[in-house]
Amino acid sequence: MPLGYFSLILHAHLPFVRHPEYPEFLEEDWLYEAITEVYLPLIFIFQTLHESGAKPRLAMNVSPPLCEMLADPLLQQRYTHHLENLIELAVKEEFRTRSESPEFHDVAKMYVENLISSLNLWNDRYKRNLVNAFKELQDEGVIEIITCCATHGFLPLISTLESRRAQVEIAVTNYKKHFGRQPRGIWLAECAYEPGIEDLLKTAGIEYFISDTHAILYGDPRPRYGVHAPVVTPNGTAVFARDVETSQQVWSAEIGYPGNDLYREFYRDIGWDAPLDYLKPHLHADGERRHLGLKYHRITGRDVPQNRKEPYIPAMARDKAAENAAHFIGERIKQAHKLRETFEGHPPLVISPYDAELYGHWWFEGPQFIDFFFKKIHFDQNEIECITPGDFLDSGLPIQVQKPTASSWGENGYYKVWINEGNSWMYPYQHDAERRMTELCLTAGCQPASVGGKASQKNEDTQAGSLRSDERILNQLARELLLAQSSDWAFQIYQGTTVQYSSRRFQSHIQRFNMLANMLETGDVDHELLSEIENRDNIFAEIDYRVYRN
Amino acid sequence: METKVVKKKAGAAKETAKSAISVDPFAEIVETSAPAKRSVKVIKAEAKVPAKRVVTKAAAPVIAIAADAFAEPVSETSAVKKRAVKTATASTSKAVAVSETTKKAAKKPAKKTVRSKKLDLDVTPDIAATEPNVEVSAVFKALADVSLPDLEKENRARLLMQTPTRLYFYWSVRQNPWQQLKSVFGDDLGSYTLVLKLTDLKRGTEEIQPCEAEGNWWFAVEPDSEYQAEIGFYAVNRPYFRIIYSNTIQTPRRSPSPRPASDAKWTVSANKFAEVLDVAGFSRDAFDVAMAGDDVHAAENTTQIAFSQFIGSKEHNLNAISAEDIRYAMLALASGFTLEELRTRVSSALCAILQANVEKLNAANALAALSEYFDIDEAEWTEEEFGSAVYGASLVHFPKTLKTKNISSKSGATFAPRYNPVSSHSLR
Repeated sequence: MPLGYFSLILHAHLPFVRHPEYPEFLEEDWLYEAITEVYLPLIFIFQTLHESGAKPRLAMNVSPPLCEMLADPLLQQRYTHHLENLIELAVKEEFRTRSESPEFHDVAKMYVENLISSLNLWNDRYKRNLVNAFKELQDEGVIEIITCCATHGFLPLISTLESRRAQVEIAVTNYKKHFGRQPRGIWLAECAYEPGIEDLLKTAGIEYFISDTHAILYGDPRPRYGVHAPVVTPNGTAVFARDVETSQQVWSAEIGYPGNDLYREFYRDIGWDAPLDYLKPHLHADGERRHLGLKYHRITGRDVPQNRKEPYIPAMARDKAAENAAHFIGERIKQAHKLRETFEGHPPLVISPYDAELYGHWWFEGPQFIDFFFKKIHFDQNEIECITPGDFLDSGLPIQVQKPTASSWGENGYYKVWINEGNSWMYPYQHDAERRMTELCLTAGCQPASVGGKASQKNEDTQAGSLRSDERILNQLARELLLAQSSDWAFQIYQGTTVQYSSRRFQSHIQRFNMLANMLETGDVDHELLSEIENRDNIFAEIDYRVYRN
Repeated sequence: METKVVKKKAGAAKETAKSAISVDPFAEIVETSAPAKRSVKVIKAEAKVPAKRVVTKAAAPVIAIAADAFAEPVSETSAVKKRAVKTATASTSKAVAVSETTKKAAKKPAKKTVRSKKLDLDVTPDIAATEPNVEVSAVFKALADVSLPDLEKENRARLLMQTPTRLYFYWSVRQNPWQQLKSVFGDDLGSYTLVLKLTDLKRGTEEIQPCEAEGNWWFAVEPDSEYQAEIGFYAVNRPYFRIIYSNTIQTPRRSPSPRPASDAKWTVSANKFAEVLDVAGFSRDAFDVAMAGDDVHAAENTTQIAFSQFIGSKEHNLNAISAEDIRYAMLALASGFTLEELRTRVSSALCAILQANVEKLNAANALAALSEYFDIDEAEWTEEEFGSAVYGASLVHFPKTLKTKNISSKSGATFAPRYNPVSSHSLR
């Protein structure tokens, strides 16, 4: 038995952003940037570590909206175009810096090499579908993929039991579609928990969920091993809670590794530095500047203004990532000694969850850090063993029964980020739609035939296969409700980032929900409109509205 | 049941109700005792629907900087000489065969044809061609005109938790409530006022506010309790009747449970649990658990006695306030915190008591009262700057760190946690 266990958990999630109605769309870049900077590097690192015998082991949530986007042919095609465009710019940059800015030339070369490698991986190794890449890693025993609420819905703020249950069950169904098995664990969106949610999980066959620290520390009765051992709720669902020390070490803007002076500066981007004419072929049709992902500067110093940042030196940053990984492991060993002493011999488990997008997007060297971490932990020490929550449950170690408390991992530990003076206007609309969804499903359950009149006559659309019009509408109602429930909109409104887009997304899904509900209730189906909504919000092709029946 | 805070709303009818009414499936009559206190606080409908928004793509942040990546090359002042580029991705990508064609192309950049010819990349110019002709589509226009409709007239009463000390309530009544009242009492509406009522189901207390038929409200509440809100008609000495009522909300504890496991395998002493909390980073809770000891009820009594001594009064009813909250306040005040700084960190009921005794609130008094009743030594505590900002898309909360001096237990227990007045978690 090792001195202690360590479980790295990466939460990979982006809201469902897909706009086929436009040739290009700024917010789709969120996905494209994450593929280039996070998912491809991580997948490649895990695969390489595995093939080299380093035996990486971690849990990863690949959220249902992210899976759906990664598997979407239109987005795959658009990403390919995005990456090619970026390579073209990088190649131009390599040429330009050779003579004009030699101090940036190494970085420019790095981008060309990385991006071309990414394109090869994307096209040749993974055939443009990273869901398959994640699945392969799970099947090879590298990662344990867990699911998430269907559209990252914040369960405690969802008003009906049916809607909460749908968030869980639709996620499980979608997981099975993509990964061909039942998920063992779930990442509750924002780690938001309130008592009773475990019953939904149990019904859906989920064995465990991830919570924030105080869910267990403030749970009843007192946890014998604090957050450094899981607990099980009275219904048998296990809870693994976040370790604060490791979170801070990586994630804190003040003491976290990513703030090191040698690491790449996130906010200094060629999209804002280069002359507009030079960039124009690589911008969207609107010609507006935006982040393009080629960045040439290092952080340099916390208080150094953007125009005084010094050139980024990849080799030095890489050395620092190795040093940080070694330090992180050293701290884990110290922590395990301390915990083991406190626990009188009981082996501690440190649960260390992060947004996956931290690694590579916000912290450019993050994937290198993970690469070094798993190498060093495998080759340089034998006191800490990396496992997943599922592995821990399989270990047979006894687990204390406890009732956790309501909590989230957001600012101040509860629900303030998602319900406050700036976004509380959303909830009456969301809750009305939740109530109406179940009512419509129940009504539909009493009607053996499809909606009448024009609806039954005009049901010629082939997109939804053999479904009747009313079933198509009900399924699309479910999609619109699920998309409106994404916690991302309320979060971004609170953050003050992309407020217009987030507000509009929420409003558009509520509006579409109302349009469809009216079609269903009146029997006056506009098939062109229905098809267009289906075409745009095409998440969860497998959805079955009956999940909303009580 | 204690009821507080209500006042007649101007214009209410005068006569007394004599019969019960049931106005809709949610309705039921609930009689309560007359309220003890009154105050005026008219709640206005505040449900805000955002103005119609125009589709615009979100602007990325503009950083006003010199474009020095494109400026003249600077001299090599950096202590770091150029090195071969070696990143994890680059180095580990050896397994990926980069074709010769690609390598050559990489050396000859700059022309637009590079993408499709020299790199032989799969350009996807057909994307635009496959797009619908959105400009002329009526469906496109229908979907582009995004606006939220007015909410339909419905009975709504939804209570949501924001934090253990703050709840959000929104409501609306489908039919004019006054018409409903009138249908039962005729014109004899007496002094009835439409009110919203929040009931603390655990403590049996109520808060009543005059309100309108539709609106929203934020309530200050207590942790570790259960609440329900409702809309109804209230009049002094007349039956109260409910129109609509909400779901119930349980507010969580914001401190560790006082209860160790009953199973010997999992049970843990207070001192050992304090150690467990401390290694988890929850050092303020660790201190409180160690200070309170194993006998939670005795600690509760002692806390109340110490607090009464501190404020020089035994008149206040402390039973509805958690002992942990009282100790928290006393320790924070002992460390030099002001009442203002405490205001958002302790319950409103405790805050009201402290406010009423503000002239007695000083660090020396607090420490003297604590030292007399608990096994703690004198110490100095100074606040350090907080560190809560994080990278990335999640606003994950972290413990707030404070400068502390060790504070030891007089009882000689094996574990003497450090005291952090408001640290250990940022939940307050």
